[in-house]
Amino acid sequence: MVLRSVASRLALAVLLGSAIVLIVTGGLLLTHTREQTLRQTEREASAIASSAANRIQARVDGVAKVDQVLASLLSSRRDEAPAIIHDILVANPEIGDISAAFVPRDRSSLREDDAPVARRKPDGGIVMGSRLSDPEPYWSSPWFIRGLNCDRGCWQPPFRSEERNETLVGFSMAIPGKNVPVIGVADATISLDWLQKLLGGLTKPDHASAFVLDTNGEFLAHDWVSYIGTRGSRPLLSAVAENRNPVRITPEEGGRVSEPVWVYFVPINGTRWTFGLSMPERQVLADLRHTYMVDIMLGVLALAGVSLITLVVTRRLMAPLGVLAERAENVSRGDLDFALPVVRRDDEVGRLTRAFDQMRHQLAGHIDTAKRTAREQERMASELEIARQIQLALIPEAHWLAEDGRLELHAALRPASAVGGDLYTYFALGARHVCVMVGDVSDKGIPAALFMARTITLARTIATHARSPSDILGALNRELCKGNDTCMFVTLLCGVVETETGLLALASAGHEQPVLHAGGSTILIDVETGPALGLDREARYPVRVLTLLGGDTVLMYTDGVSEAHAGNQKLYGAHALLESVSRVEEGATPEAFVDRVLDDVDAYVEGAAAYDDIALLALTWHDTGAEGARLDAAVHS
Amino acid sequence: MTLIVRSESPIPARTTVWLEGRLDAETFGDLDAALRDITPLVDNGGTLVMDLSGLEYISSAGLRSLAQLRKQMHDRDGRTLLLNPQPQVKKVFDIVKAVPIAEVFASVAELDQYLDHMQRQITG
Repeated sequence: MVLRSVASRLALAVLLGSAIVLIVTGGLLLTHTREQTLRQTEREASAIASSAANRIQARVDGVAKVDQVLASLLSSRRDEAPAIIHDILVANPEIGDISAAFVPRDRSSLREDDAPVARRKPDGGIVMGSRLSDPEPYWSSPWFIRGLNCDRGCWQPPFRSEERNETLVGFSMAIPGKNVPVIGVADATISLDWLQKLLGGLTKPDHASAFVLDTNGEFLAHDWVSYIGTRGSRPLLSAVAENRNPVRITPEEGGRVSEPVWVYFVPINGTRWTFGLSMPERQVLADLRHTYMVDIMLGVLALAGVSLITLVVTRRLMAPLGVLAERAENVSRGDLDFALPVVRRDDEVGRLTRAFDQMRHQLAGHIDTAKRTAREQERMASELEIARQIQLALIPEAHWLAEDGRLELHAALRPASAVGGDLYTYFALGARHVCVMVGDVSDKGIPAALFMARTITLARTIATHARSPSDILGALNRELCKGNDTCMFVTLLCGVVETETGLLALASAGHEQPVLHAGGSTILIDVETGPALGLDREARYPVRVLTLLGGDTVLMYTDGVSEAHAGNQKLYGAHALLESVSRVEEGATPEAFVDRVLDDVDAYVEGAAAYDDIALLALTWHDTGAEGARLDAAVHS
Repeated sequence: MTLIVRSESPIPARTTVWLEGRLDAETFGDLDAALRDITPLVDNGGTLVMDLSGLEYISSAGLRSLAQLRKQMHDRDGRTLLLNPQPQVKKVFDIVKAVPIAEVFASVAELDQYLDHMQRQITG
């Protein structure tokens, strides 16, 4: 698809945009030029019309003057009328005939002299006659009546003379009398052929036609001969009457034209005639149309040129972008090893290309790093798994039953992550004592696991010859204090059971109180704590001694149990723990205690991941035959 | 939940740090970082008072952090005193004894009395 390229789209957009601009400005230009052309034509037409009107006026003024002179002569020299009109006709060759029609003195005895007329013959000779020979009495003719009322002369309507085969028009003027205002009419008639000739001889644009309208709206003369003597169209006459000049007349509105025309007219002074010039609009605007078409063609040519240039330039500028787009598709497929075009320009394309190259390299770097990190994490995970195995190997079996069956232990260790800081251990001290420990190293994770390993290893070594938990904790504490700049510490509950008597000595280094389930009741054993191991070299650990009776169970645990919670849940707490332990049936195995507590804690956090490591150890004394009171004493070391 | 650490050092001999929120395995790093900037302001032999009235929870990791702080101050002959812990936090101090109970005070008055006493011991 061609339009997929930005260059083509840009070129097309430029073409379309320029075309719109061209059409709009072209339209405005056309309107403006049209008005200009019409005004220019109007000026030219007005000049032609004025000049023609002046020429007509001069001609008719001449006739009017002659008639006026004649009327004043006849006023006093009625008797000489035939001679006067003869002489005047001789002197004025443009005049066709002259009448001196007087109001008859006596209609019963009319005289030839009452209405003498001098007529010019077609051969130029002059013949005298009388208006008495007119077909109808002249004194009642319209022209005579009209003439009597023209004190200062007026043009009669034109009329056709069959005899002379031409259109004539007369200028009549009342002859003033001495005793009465009017005694007759002096009338000079001219042929309108000269008017037609004048129109034909006018210098006017091609296709223009000139005409002269009389007062009645009839054409006295017209370049279109067939129009002569006919009436002008309604729109033309109303425009003349309202003096709307120039006026556009179309066939649709009733004009007697075959296409829209512009008519320019001027009144002819001295007459009530109007000279007009009619020009077809098509002709007026023909030049304009031609010019406009040429302009449009040039504009289209220019547009095509601009679009072509835009296309070529944009193609050139955008070429690196096309390559970049392909390369970006490479990147999306994960292929980062490719060559980019060398772009030295400093424009957006240049910057984009360089940035893209840099991005590609950085991306490759990041991917390398991510791969390395992933490998590293994999290695760490496998190392942690090994560490976990090693850590689990440090603690003894979960279950232990003494050979004589009196003492039974069950323990559980659940690190929150791969390795943890909680611990339990138990071992024999000589033949008659067993040492049990539950501890919790501060913090979690690898540091805690290492510290736990150190603790559990040291404990076995140190405790070998000791018999009191106080001594064991004291010695262990001193060892753990060595080189402990990070102040890691471990809280530890240490118990030593005398296997023959069930005597249990307890000492606590900052650890949670153990739970005793005995004789149907469940209580926390109040062991006074010393400082956690690893912090204070001088620490002392008081001992609490109690005698276990058959069926008694001591539960030792870390805060992973007592402080179990999920999210913002309340901590599980000692009370819940006591509650859980008390629900274990009398005579149950230590395993049942451990399982019950773990189940209850799991139920409490509703399967959420453990927040902290958990260590739990239950110790049950099975000496059912033993009698006697519970020995309970605290021994301070 | 996060930990907020604020501090005030009106005199070089005594700086008070307020802790708010939870001090546990996730937040003790913030405390360590904040104190790296604060402790140098305390004179050798000076007193760093940790006001714990806003501290809601402390874990063993937090205790380790406080113990380490105490040790560092101690190495410079300084003291770290803990002030006004909430009951549940106080209980942890009482059990674990990661810092001496004698250095935990319920009120400013008690703390000032202790400091006066120490002062008299040194001068007297």
